[in-house]
This record gives sequence, C-alpha cells and structure tokens, in this order.
Amino acid sequence: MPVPCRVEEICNGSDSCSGVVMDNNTYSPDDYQIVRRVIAGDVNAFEHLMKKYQRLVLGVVKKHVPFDEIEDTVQDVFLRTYRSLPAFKGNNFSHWLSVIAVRTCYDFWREHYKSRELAMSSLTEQHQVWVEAALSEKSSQSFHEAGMKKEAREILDWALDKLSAEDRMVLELVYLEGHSVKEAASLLGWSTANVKVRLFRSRRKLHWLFTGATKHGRSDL
Amino acid sequence: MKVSRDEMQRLTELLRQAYWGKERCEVGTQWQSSVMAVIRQMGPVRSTPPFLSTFEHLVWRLAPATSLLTLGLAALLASMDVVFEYDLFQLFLNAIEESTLAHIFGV
Repeated sequence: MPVPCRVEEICNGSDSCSGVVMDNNTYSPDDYQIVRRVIAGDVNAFEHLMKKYQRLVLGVVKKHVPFDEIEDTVQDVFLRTYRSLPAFKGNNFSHWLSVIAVRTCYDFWREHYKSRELAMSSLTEQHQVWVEAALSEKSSQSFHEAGMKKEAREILDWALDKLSAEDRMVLELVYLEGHSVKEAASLLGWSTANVKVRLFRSRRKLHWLFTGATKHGRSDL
Repeated sequence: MKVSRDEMQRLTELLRQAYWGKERCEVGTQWQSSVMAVIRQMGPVRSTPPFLSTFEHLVWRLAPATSLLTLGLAALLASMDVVFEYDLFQLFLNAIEESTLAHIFGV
C-alpha cells in the first residue's frame, strides 16, 4: 500500500486535511480575515478556524503522541495557535498551524523524556519472533491482520522510545512520514545540517535496535 | 546477527504502515468545547507582544552589532597612544590643584 506523504496526496484538494502542509496550495485568503477578526476581539471566530483545521492538527498529533495524550496535545496546539495569532503574517495558515502542531508534539516528548523513569521495557518473546519473521522473506499477508498490526505498533513504539525526543521527531517526519530533510527542518525550526545528522544517528540506532532485538542478537535488549 | 539492507527495508515498510495506521484511531470532540472555554476565559488576544519579549528580540538582534562595535573600540583603543593621553590627564589634574576659586571665577 503506498503511503501518502505529500500534501497533494493527503488533501485531494480539500481545504482541511490530515497531513502536515508544506505547500501554498491550501492557502485561503479567508483565514487571514478570520485571524484579523479574532485579533480585533471576536474570540468566537476562532472556533471557525479550529473546526476547519481540526483534521489537519489531529492528523499530525495522532501520529506523534500516544493515544491517551492526543486530546490534551490537540488542545495545547490550538491554545498556542490562539496566543500566537498576532504573529501570523498571512502567508499560509495551514503550514503555520502544522509548524505549531509539530513543535507542540516535540515539546510533549521533551517533557515526557524528562519525567520518564530510567528503566525501559524490553521486547517480549512474541515481539522478537515478530521482528525475526518481518526480517525474513516469509513475511506475507499474515502481517496485514489486525493482531500483527497491533504488534507492529507496539514494536514501533518500543523502538521510538529508545531514541531522544529530537531523534524521534526527525525519524518520524523524514523516515516514516516521508518529508524531505528541508521540510522537516522547516517544521522543527532547525538547520538542515542538524536534521541530517540526527536522521543518520537515529537510523543507525534503529538498525542497531532491530539487529539486537532478534533472538540471535544482543541479549541486553 | 547481520541484518541486510533488504531485510531492514521490509521491516521499515511494515513499521511505516503501523505508523500511518495510528492516524485511523477515533478521538472524541470534547476537546473543542474545552479549547473554546479556555479561550473565552482568556479573552481577546494581545495584538502587541509583551514588552519583555520585544526587548528580548531586540537584544538578540542588536547582539552582533554590539559585539562588532566593542571589538572595533577595543582595537581603536589599542592602537591609540595611551601614555600620551595619560600625561595630558595628569597635567589637567595638576592645573586644577593649583587653581583656586578666585582663578576659576576670574576674580
């Protein structure tokens, strides 16, 4: 199944979509008018913006944070957006909102890692078998079954949890979502060199994690 | 255990599918009313940024110019004849010691 990773593929021309917006093709001049109304004191006008772009924000947040944290993070995104409205220059509201959403998710992980206990869970026997089966050529239709997908998600969460907040965000944006290094740098507000270094490091660590996660690999995982 | 590029690619593809599958989970709509309640409580957003953040911005913007100016002044001072300036200053101080109030007011 091809994975949509560009705004054209995700949005199909609609004004609200579920992916990070990088291009200007979703620009609506109405957004700027609404923003001006909100700044002028019409607080309720913000609800229109929120409803219009809720799918976009949910699409970003759902992928980056755990399920039980989605609602809180989405709230945080819209509250930050509201506070930052005076800084909006009227170029592309959806991209601007995407940047806020991605950076809010990044802040979530930074806070999460700060308060995290050091003891990290290891892969279960079942997960190790899954990784070995996935690596082998025998992996076929069975991997598309619901149970297998659940395991894949658990393994993905386990692997991502081993990375730092920075490496995690870069890996998710570039490696899993398919954004270019430049796009990821723009979303995170970092230099492209920083993104490249982190991407290289996180990919290497991911490779190392899965090499060690197999039965014949390192036992310290 | 060695994992080949193809094997890793296969695994990555499965993980990528799992990652995109996260998007399909359903989330309630309660958060919308919570956001609007907080926003109404906050009141209208300030169109001018607070003084502190403006000042902070200004400080960082002026930092390179200030550094250059400091370096320039330091270089200028280093190249000047400091001993001569010191002698001139001493002469001025001595003149003050010798003068009285009557001299100063021209009486």
